[in-house]
Amino acid sequence: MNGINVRNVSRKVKLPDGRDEIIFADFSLTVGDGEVVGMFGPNGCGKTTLLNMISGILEPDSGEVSIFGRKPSEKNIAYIFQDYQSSLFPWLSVRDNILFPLSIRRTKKSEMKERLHCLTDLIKMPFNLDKYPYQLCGGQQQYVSVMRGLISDPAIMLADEPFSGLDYTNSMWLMERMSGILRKIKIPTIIVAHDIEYLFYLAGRVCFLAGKPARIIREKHTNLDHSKEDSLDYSGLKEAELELRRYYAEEGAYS
Amino acid sequence: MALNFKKDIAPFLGLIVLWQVISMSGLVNPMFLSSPLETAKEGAKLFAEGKIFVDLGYSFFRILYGFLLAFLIGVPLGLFLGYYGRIYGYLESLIDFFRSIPPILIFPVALLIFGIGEQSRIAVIFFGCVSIMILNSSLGVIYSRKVRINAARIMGARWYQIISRIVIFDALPQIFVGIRVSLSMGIIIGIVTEMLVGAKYGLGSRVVYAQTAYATPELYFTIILVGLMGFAANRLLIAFENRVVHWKYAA
Repeated sequence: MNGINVRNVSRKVKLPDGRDEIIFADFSLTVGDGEVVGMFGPNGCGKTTLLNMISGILEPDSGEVSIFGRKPSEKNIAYIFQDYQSSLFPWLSVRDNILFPLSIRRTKKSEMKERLHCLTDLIKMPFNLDKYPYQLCGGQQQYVSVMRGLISDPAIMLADEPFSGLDYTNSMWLMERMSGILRKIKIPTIIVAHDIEYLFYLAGRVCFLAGKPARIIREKHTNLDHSKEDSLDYSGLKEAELELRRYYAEEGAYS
Repeated sequence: MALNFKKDIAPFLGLIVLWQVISMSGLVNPMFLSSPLETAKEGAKLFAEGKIFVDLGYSFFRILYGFLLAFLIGVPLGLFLGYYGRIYGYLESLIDFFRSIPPILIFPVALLIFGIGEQSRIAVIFFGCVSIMILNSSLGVIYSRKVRINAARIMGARWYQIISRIVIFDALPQIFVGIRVSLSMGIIIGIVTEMLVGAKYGLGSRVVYAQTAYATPELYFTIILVGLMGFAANRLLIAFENRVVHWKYAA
């Protein structure tokens, strides 16, 4: 069974001038169990809308989204937002931020402690949990969002440009850790990023999105095996980039 | 609430010195401006006699009742209107209209309804404070980060959890703005209503009494006392706000 199944989905959005614009028409995408898919495309092509539909924040106008055969609202989803400062809760400590998904389900304190212990055992937490998010640097804050997503044992993970709000050092720091996490936690994952290099580093398959309505114009398998520490394969990265530039220039996708 | 000598004490000391110099120079008639020393002596006398405590107590509790009532009604109502932005949109003009009416104009109406008593003064203080509380609480919610609400929704939070654990906290900095502005407003309205008909006690009525009796030192001392009351209330609120909304300057 596919982890994420987007089937014949259509969705239009209202533009500021009142007109409707069709973002997706009869769009389909599947992500296998444990597969990491990267989404690459120009601004405004519908990447975030797609993640919002998969997470259940947005309903498609037609078509169906399912996660392991169930509605998105019936599954735990780890959603990593681009704007980590706005998605974390600054009035809560890092620990309480991570435990938030459990606390709203009235999970027992002992169980929350146990879950946090298991998570920090699996994934190292390189900072003090009693700090507040604003006391951490950008990369660490985004890392807290990832931890918060993972604490509830999610069925899938969706990451919407997790590196775009970070400087180069923080991006590299977070990317290293994300790579480690994806190696350990094998759940269907979609990562949206502006930088194709990040996707080649993290995803096993990269989909190139373009056009209005959006469609997948190319797919590239990166031969990345998350079970192996050093399976990074950048072959094809350059040619993919050139091919895309050509395509987007012809299609006017950047305009 | 730590006081900084350079910022909090030195300017006051400078003002007192200037005031003393002007009084001693004989440029101003003592009938219009008593010296700081005379004013301080009069203040000590008023405290020793205990009369000022009665006025202080009356003013303090009138303002507190009106302010608390406005807080208890205004903040939840503002949160509700902010959360249901469409309803706020319908009522925004109405809130703006009531906010534009100088609260003191309502005093005659309050006198008609409640008579010459405490209730009419408290009602006017409430009227002046409540629209500020509603407005700021609503705006706090309206301008709160929608990403946080979406994040909580994805985690499975229900509407009441979103309100109690996200929306209120996100709106807190703006709610505090409303609290501080309306407290200042409450003090102004409270003192002014005491200066009008029917108030036997209160700092406002003492100011009027001092003016009609040409008791200039008492007049100045009472004015200073009202200023200190507002200053202390504001400083206490800021200290409390900094403790509660510790993330305000970090975001």
